[in-house]
Amino acid sequence: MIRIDLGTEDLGGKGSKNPFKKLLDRLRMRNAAPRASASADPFASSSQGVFSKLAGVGTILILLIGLAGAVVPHLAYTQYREFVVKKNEETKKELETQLAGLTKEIARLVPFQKELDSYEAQKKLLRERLDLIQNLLSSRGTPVNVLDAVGQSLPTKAWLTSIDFDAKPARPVIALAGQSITNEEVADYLDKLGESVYLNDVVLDSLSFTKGSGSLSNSDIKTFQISLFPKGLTSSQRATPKPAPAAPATPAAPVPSETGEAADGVAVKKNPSAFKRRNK
Amino acid sequence: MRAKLLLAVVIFLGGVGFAAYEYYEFISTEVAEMEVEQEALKKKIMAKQADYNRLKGFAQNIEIVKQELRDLNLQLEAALDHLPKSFNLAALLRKLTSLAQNSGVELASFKPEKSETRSEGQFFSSIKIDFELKGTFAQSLLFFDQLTRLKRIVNLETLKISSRESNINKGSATVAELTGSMRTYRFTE
Repeated sequence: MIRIDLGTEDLGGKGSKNPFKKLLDRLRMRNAAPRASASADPFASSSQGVFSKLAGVGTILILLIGLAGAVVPHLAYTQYREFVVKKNEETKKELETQLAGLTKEIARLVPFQKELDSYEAQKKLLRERLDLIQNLLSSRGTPVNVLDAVGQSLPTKAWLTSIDFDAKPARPVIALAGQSITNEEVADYLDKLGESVYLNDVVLDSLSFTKGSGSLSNSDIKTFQISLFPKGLTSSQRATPKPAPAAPATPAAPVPSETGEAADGVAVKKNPSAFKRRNK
Repeated sequence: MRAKLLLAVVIFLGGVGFAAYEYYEFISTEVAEMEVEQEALKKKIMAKQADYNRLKGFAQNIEIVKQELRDLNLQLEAALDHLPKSFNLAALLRKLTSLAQNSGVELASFKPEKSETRSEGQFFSSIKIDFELKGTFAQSLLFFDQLTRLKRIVNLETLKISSRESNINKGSATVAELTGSMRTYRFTE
């Protein structure tokens, strides 16, 4: 009988150059040894067999422990998986029960569904219409407020030659053209327009000098162009109006005259006599 | 002996590795699918719950909802007073002339457009009216202020104010020329 013991000794130990050769020698020796010693010492041969058997059992035991160790994580995983799957099934069942309950309740309330849809559609339509009318109503006061603010802000030594108001839906715009005696008047006018609650984005487009005529022939006249945008063409902006420069019911004269005459915001075009008139 | 132990450790580690792989596969595929499935069910439940709440609320407060609708209808009826059923331009002209006289401006022209405008899906149509006025700035402002106080909606769209040199009247307010357009509305449904 040939017995191979792979693990009992280090095959690649010290001094062994060829471990396979050494192993073959050992196998030969082991085969020869029982035959030689069988007749001489039967006890010795039987003890060697027991040891060999014990060595084999140890190997198997170690391998079995290794295998058992390898199987344990798999078993743990299997247990965990079963737990997760079971829990998922339970949750799913619970959710499905809940869903079925809600569906049943909804089915009970189905007669109300059509009525509710109809009411909601009517409500939406009514609200839209009301909002539209409200918007139209709220935006109609804007031009008056804006023109009033334009007139009220005009300094005494400045006058307007034209006002162009365009309430286009995208962005209403106002273009002002006017003249003044000094640059300070133009700057003051820009400041006052900027402070108005009805106006936005006041921009000085141009400022040029022209020779005055008539009583102002000795001085330069400043011709300016301003563009601005009215606020308050939406209901939200007009819902909480801030104090207006003047009551809309009785719009004051755009340029407050020191002499008390009804001064006019739109003064003389390219003629400083209006200024002269105001400052008499 | 060491080799045997090594082999056992290798087998053990192999087992652990295989279990880890199984666990990873399970988490990344099956558990993910389970989560997706549960999420879908929860979403369905939430939608149903919202439907149920809406219907239940309606069923419980049906009288309140009906009253709300009646109130809205009344509000709209009141609002529709601002939108007459016809443009009635003759009446509007009469009204504007009266306003012009009251405020001291002269209504020099009144030109309604030939056709009315109606946006799709709207319940009203509108008509543009070009006009010319003559008067001082203050008078014009008064006129526009009164215009905004009319019961029917008349909105100022464009306005150009200018004064000619010939209009200059020393010692009194300058008469300006105003040209522009206004828009009035009527209920169409």
